[in-house]
Amino acid sequence: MRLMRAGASLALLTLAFPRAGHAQIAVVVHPSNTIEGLSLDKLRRLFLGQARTFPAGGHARLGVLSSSAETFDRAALGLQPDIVRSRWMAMIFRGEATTIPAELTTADDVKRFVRDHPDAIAILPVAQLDASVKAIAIDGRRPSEAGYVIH
Amino acid sequence: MSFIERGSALSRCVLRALSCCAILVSAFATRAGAQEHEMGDADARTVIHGFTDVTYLTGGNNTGRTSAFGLGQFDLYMTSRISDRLSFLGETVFEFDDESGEFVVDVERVIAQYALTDHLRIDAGKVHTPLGYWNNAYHHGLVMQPTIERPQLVQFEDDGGPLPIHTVGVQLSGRDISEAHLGFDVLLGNALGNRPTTDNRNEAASVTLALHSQLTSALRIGVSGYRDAVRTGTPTPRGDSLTAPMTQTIGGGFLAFFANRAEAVVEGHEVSNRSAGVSTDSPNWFAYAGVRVAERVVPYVMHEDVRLADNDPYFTSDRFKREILGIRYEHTARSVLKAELRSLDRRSFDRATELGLQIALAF
Repeated sequence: MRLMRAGASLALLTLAFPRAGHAQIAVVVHPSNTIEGLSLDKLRRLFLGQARTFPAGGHARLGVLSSSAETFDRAALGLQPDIVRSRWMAMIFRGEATTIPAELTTADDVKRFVRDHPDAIAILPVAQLDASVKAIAIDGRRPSEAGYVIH
Repeated sequence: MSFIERGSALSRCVLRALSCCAILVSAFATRAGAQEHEMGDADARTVIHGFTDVTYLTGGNNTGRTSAFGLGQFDLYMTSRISDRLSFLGETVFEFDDESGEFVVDVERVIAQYALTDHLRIDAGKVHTPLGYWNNAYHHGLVMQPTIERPQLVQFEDDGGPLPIHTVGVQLSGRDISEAHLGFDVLLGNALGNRPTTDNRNEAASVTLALHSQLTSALRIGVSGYRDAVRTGTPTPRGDSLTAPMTQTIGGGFLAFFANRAEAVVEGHEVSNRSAGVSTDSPNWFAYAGVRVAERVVPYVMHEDVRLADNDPYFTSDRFKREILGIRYEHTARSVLKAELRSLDRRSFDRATELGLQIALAF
């Protein structure tokens, strides 16, 4: 009985924190941006260079926190980091992109990037969120809600 | 010429080519970085990249050659963002030319690009003709290409490919339009046989239309068409010239799927030539598929079938069937090793088998 209870607790823990060791990654925009959420498909298209605008039509300027990039690539884009990198290289090589997403070193760099660019969309560990950026929902779920996919 | 003399001539050519590259690079680069060179202020940022490869192909087995290592193209690629909307893209290749016996410089792409909106842009210059998928997804840097060589159908013109791979002209392109994520390309360019200058052999023009959709982030489908009114006297791939005007029409389509585990491309083009009462149709296609079995390892297969019609007014009639079994090791995004076992069945030749190895780099 005790073993079953322990098993059930472990299962609940696994559901609540599906990939222990991987911090949740928030997708953030400028506080003035009216967008509240994106579909995972749209997020993928944006960060793979297949789309360049928010659903409402405004230009999207991409920023990536280097230390969160691997988790984001695997969890949100569904690809290995090297594949994401080679896709961007290929797009620049084809003339379909002129720059790769801005690579930012620290959480403060991400916040500065978002603050300075009203069209920015970037990634940030949930623990680093504050009022200077606005976290948006992905597929209807906000960071820390059950079922949020980027972790 | 002895082997040593040939070797020293080759060394001189390589040194000359590398000197040219060094001059080009030093002319454009003011700050050397690990991966890129930048020049100028934020509004005029020039980035230079390069690609190269070394390939080993076995001989014998009806291949008509001996086993040898081969230098691939030494490709310098540069982009410059001139303003928010205007950018430049150039690709120059140094490669060994068998006919002249020397390294030659070939300007493969020179494009002035103006972004009208986030969805529309205009390109002017020498571009890859927007036919199908492979020709626009993969250019001269082989590190990004899944296989050692381009499929024969989309092989470069000077390597015997049947399609007009490059066109000099002006192109309007659209991407990610509507909920269907549609894209299009309309290219108006010089006709077959013309030079990349205004000093042309004829005044005819070619038109290419392409329509595609990025259905999901992994799946893209599309169709394309090309029409060219070719004038009398235009040189043919056979080495002679057209004795009468010819109309060339190319219609094709593709499906390309690239996910984390699986990848596939199926592409076909039919080339129809009409000249002096002779009409021919040449159906051609290829299929590629690969599966990522480990983080960096992708085994793959490819089948190609190129049929150039008998009595064609432009092509040398041919039947080219090739099967490839290969494996790719992606050491990094910038360095890839490939190995292939290939079997080629070509009209009038015995079936040839060969092993190919390649290291391809981006820098």
